Amino acid sequence: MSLISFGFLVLVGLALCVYYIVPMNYRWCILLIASLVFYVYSGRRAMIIAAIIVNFSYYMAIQIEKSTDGRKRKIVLSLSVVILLTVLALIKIGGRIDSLAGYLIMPMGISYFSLSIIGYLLDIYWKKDTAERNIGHYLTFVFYFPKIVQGPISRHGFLKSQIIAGKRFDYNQVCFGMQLALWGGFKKIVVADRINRLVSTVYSNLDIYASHGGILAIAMLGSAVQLYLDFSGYTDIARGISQMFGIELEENFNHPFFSRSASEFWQRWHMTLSGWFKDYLFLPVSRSQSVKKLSKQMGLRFGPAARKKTMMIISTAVVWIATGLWHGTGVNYIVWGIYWGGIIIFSELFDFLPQRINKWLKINTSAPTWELFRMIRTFMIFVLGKMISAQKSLYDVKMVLWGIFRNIHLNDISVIYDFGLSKIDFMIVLWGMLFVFMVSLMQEKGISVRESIARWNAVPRWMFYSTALSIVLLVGIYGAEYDTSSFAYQFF
Amino acid sequence: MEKLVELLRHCCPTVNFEDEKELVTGKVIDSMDLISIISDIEEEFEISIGMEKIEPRNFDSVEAMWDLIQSLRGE
Repeated sequence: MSLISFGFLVLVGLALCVYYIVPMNYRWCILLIASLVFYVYSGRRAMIIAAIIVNFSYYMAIQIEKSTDGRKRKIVLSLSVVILLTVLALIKIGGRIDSLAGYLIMPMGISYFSLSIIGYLLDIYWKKDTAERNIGHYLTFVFYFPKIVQGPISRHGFLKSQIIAGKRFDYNQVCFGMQLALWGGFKKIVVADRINRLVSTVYSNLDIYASHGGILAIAMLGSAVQLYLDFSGYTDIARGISQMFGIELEENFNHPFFSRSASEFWQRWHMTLSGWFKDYLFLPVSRSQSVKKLSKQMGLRFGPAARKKTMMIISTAVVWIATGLWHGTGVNYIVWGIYWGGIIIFSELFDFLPQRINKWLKINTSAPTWELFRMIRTFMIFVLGKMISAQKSLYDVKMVLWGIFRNIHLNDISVIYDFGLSKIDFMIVLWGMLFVFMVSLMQEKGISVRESIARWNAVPRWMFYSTALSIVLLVGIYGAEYDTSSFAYQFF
Repeated sequence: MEKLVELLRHCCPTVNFEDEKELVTGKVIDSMDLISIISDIEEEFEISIGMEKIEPRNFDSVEAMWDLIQSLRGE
């Protein structure tokens, strides 16, 4: 069952009706039932593995909290985290060796809920959270259906109280939720799925398109935009549906293409993943005794700045190798992690360079064109990174880059309609992208589009809603050519 | 507290530490700044800040950081 399917629509509709009818104290039960129904229908192939992981972590969390012996707490925590990471790694490696076996043994959303669970265990160990004693509440937290497929990676402390408390019906919240879900659907099935046709055709036939540098460049740019629209579209649907139940999920995207630097980009892109790595890996690694000791030695030898830089380099390198491995165990993901980590480390190490270069070149850094240049530069870094992670091997990466730099011809554009996209499809993609850009720009300037629409009179407002719904339903891509049930980040 | 403000200014010269009350939650300082600030505080005030104390509310303002330092000195 996909988030974009008739079955899911029925499930949400039924769950919403029952949720707001039953007494407040039992509303979380409806969320649990809906979540289990969704999980069983969507990911029953590996239900047992998921059930074992969840029960194991539920029990271990209580053991960590109950123990007063610091050493025992540390052993229980370490054991739990190692077991959870080993299971995750084995499943991911299994999926890489044999895709069918991987499909059969991989519980839906394991990469996401494993991180949520590990974060939960660490928070209990650090006494920032309390262990859940009601297995029903815990199951609802882990399997909460809007976010189980591909996040946001929720924190127990953030979600728990919202789930358990039960929410009163709020007309505005339900409307806002519907709007957000509809907006996500527009990004996903109207724009992203169209771009995907072109990208997947080109990337799966690199031998043929290696001589069409222009097409490769379009596919490379399209692939980056498609990933953003697909993933942020999914997040909007998930957050919108959750909002209809009165439950806020964490934000995952904050207009990342307006970022001026690589570091800023990762504060705006997949925010719950980067936030997780910051809190549960970057900070603990930088605070570990060995890193502190090494940094101190470097500080004594080369000055105070070297102490901080050493700490930053080690922690950032560990985080980015882990981020690459989380995305996949293939060499392309490891290279992708090194690529991003390398850029961020370089920019932190040589943070004095831009100022010197700008002074030397007499660049007016307060000019809007300079800001635009920085945004385009960051976007191009992302585009290149996405291309690296999208290829099956480093040879393919080389082939794409070689094709773009060696074989770019103006007449490449003449074959642009040979990828399953008609002229109308291209127009829809271009207008759709422009529309998303305009809305993002308004939001970036602090204008709340949803609240502006909510202030309209009922007739034009509902006309707008129905028109928007009709556009998504009529113009969206369905059918056998591209499976709408697939989201780009679903199988990470 | 002046020593703390001076230390913070040295670490992040562009940040207005006196007025800012959401340094971490408002993303005024990033994780790189945060680890620098923590290691500087540890060195300057001869304390050790455990992971359980690294929470946004303890680093959102100069006052919060000062309270944390005082509580750790008292332990």
